[in-house]
Amino acid sequence: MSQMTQASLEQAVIARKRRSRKRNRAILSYTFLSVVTLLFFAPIAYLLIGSFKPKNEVLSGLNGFIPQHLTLANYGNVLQAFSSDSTGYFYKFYFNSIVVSAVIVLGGLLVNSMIAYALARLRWAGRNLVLSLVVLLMILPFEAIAVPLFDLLNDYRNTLFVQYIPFIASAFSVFLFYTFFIGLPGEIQEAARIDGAGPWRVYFKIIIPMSRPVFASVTILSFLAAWNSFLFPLMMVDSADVRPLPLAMTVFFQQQQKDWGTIFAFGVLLILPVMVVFLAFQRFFIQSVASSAVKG
Amino acid sequence: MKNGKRIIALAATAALAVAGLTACSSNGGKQTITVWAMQGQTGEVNAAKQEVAAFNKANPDIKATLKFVPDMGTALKTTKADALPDAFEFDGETLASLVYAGKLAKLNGLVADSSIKNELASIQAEGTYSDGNTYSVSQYDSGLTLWGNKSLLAKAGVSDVPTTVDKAWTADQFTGVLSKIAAVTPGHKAITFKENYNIGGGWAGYAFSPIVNSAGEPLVKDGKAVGSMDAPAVAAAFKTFASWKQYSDPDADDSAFQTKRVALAWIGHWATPAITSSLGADAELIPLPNFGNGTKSGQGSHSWAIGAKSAHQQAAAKFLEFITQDSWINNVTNQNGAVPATNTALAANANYAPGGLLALYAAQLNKSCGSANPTASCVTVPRTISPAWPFINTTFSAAVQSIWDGADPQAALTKAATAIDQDYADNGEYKK
Amino acid sequence: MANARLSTKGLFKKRFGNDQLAGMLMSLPGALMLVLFVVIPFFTAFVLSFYNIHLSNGHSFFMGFEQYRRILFDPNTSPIFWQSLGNNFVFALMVVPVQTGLAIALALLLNQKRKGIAFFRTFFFMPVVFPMSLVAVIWSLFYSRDLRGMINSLLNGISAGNIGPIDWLGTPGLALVSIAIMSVWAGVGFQMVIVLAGLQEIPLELYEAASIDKASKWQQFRNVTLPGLRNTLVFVVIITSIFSLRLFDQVYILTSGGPLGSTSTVMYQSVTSAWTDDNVGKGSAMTVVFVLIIIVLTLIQRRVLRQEREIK
Repeated sequence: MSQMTQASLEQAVIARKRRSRKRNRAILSYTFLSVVTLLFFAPIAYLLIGSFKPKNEVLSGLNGFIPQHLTLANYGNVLQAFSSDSTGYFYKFYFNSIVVSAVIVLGGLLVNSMIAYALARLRWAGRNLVLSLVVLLMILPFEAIAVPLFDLLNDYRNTLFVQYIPFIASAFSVFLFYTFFIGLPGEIQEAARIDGAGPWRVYFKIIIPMSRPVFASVTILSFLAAWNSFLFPLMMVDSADVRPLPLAMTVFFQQQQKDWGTIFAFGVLLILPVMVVFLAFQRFFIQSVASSAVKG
Repeated sequence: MKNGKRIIALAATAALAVAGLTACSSNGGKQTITVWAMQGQTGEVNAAKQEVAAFNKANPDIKATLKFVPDMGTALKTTKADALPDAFEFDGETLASLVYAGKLAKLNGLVADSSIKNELASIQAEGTYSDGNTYSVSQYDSGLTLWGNKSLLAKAGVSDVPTTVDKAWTADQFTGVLSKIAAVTPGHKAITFKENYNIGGGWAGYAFSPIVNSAGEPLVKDGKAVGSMDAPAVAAAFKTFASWKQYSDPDADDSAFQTKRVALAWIGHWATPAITSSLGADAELIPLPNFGNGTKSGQGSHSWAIGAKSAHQQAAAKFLEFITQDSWINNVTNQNGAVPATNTALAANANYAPGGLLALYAAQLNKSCGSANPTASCVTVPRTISPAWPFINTTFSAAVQSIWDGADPQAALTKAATAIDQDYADNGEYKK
Repeated sequence: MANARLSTKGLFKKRFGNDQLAGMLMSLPGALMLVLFVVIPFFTAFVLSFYNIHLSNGHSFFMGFEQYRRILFDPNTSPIFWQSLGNNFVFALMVVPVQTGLAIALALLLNQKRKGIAFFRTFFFMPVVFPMSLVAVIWSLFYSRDLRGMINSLLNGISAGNIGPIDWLGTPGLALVSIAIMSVWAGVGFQMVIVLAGLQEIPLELYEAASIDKASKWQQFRNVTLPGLRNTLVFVVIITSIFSLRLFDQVYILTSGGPLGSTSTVMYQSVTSAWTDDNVGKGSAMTVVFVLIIIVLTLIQRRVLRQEREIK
């Protein structure tokens, strides 16, 4: 009996030890996660807080994080700088950015997924050639060809058209679609084709519904790129009528005396729509990026 | 490339039908001119709006439409001559490249001689291309000096602070002054060189080319930088300059001088409103240090020109005459602290009269070296009036930045000068 | 027999015969745009690389291979190019292992079944949605070399003043490291999410089998997790390497390639030559050289991967 109690006592001690070890590990885990979160969030917090600070308090060491004299003046400055016919209107820049980004994203989804499907799932002469072209172009950064492209399209400067047309087709998006389509199970497709469905029907009726994750992640990644597009609009747009949001920000960077508060406020307004979308859909967002990329 | 253009043209025609290109047009006998202005500080933006409104009121037969451009330098670079507006504001230092690109109209005979001749000699030199013609007028010129904090200087025991060009500190004296100041400031810094403006990004081309001139050389002599920009005296001057880095506040918050962290600021006129409002009577102008050939300074600011292909050059010229009247000049310089660009406006302004707070600016600009090689007696030197200037500027600025970062001055300057000479040679000495 | 063959052929034709037309038609819009807006500009760049030509004016001078000679061999102008190329590789050598390792570590942390994991995941991923231009501006203030810079202020506070202000972006050996740190911050969330998905694809039975064999956590990681992540990690490494070679934005905003060229990259040289210096021919020649380097790297990489596959 005493032996038994001894044994059960020991067991209880072990169990308690295990439990407390488990709890310790949980505490450790959460502490570590919190510290990392702090590191990741600090610059963003700095941006947010700074956008409400008077210009001379933004850059002040750790005090930059401490909200002292909060003000909306920076936001006022941004809106006030673009509030007449001669300067253009802030809301119009938003609108321009939305139109350009929407055309790039929607056009890109169709065009890039089609070519990826043809490369991943159809057998045709010329396939290998196009495939190697895509792989090669994926590595070529836009900056490398910006000037010749400018030369080619300069007759269409100051239009929305010139801001989206070169960016609809994207080798990177094709690559993302391609790696996803390659990983899709072939059986359903085969079955459909034996039943007499042509490649177009298979693409629209089977592939697209099966591929929501990759469509979501390409949407997000191409939207981010389009929304932040800067170099090409800088070359192509001087008119306020078609000016996109990031280009308007140069007004504050061009000045010798940089007003960080106002620049931060502009940054917040620039990032706001992206953040709202991100926070609302973040679960879906992260899952989709992951599930489409991992097939590679 | 031609083919590519045609294909794009075909593909784009439909989309472009909607976009319709805008051009200046006449309606009902009224001439419409387009005016581009830089979108600078709020005060400048308001001043430009006011002068355009007043111009339209004063000239019922002309309608000027004002457009602000965020990045004028890029816009002028990327816009072809026939798509430029009728009148536009630009960075005066780029005049020669714009003339070389065929984008500016000669103002002689277009803008009234009385307007041109009333501009400061420095401005007239700045607006004259190597063909002898005038291509721009200005509302204001720039001033580049040191600002000093009187009480901090006194606290550091610096006496005999020079306030006129002939009494400028020598570079060696200046080193002593800096070390004295650094001993009394809390952060042990003495001066801001406005590093936050980005030395290598072009700030050096304006702010630190006077060091070259004060060492006795122009940046480029007769189309050659080797032998002038990299002369031994210049390299020695920059060696001294680099030794001042230990006293320099990086000034990332753009207010080292206003918040009294340092006693000196190497800065342009645009800081005047902020400095006078924070230091009041405690602030004074001090000439830049003398590296042997007398103190030297910069000149030139924003200028105005007429598009070479403009169909309304007469109307545009009227606009330029209008905005260079003293009243409109004062309207904008009261906002941005710049030096009025006409002799009459400058003479009427008490700030620039002997004994006035900003007298040094006027005294310096009155001794403009023009486009000639700087002598010991002249003070302000325009940035090299050559189509090569943008390249000279970036190359020289990068060299100064590398010296500031610790590179050997002689090697860095010779490398830059060699690259500049190569650029002249590559472009047929810009004679084409 | 002939009949059977015919019918197989017919079936094949029925199944794949219209692939040729559909394949071409489906590729047409995308391929056409890629040719128009990427391939043609690239060949234009190739042609321009033989000229001295400016964006701002119409003058041009034929130079033959002179631009290439200056970029690659001229004693006055070529060192910066080689230095930039070297920086690209140093940057890749820093960022690829660190970012991949950190991504694995964060993904393992987030792969636990704990409350609130989604909350942390959101924060780790958040920097990815920020434009690099904005991120770089914020970090430039963090890195300010006096005590007003956030990082110096923090270090100074922690060490009670013993760690003096460090010039993060102005010290030749340190500036590229500073840029790498910022890049990892901005990019690791993306890699982390990919690795996380890779982790969740590894069958749980493998871990159960390993723990029955009394394998330690570390042994499990070595023998189950890492092999299971192989494809994912190849993808992550390739993507990160590509972005390292394309490095431009951060450098342009934070350091302008300095100090003393220690953060300059090939793309930085190419863009500033063509754009800031208005020397389109030189920038184009650098683009061509850059693409040739990429092609060589891709070929080597394909060869290595193929060999590896053959060994397997």
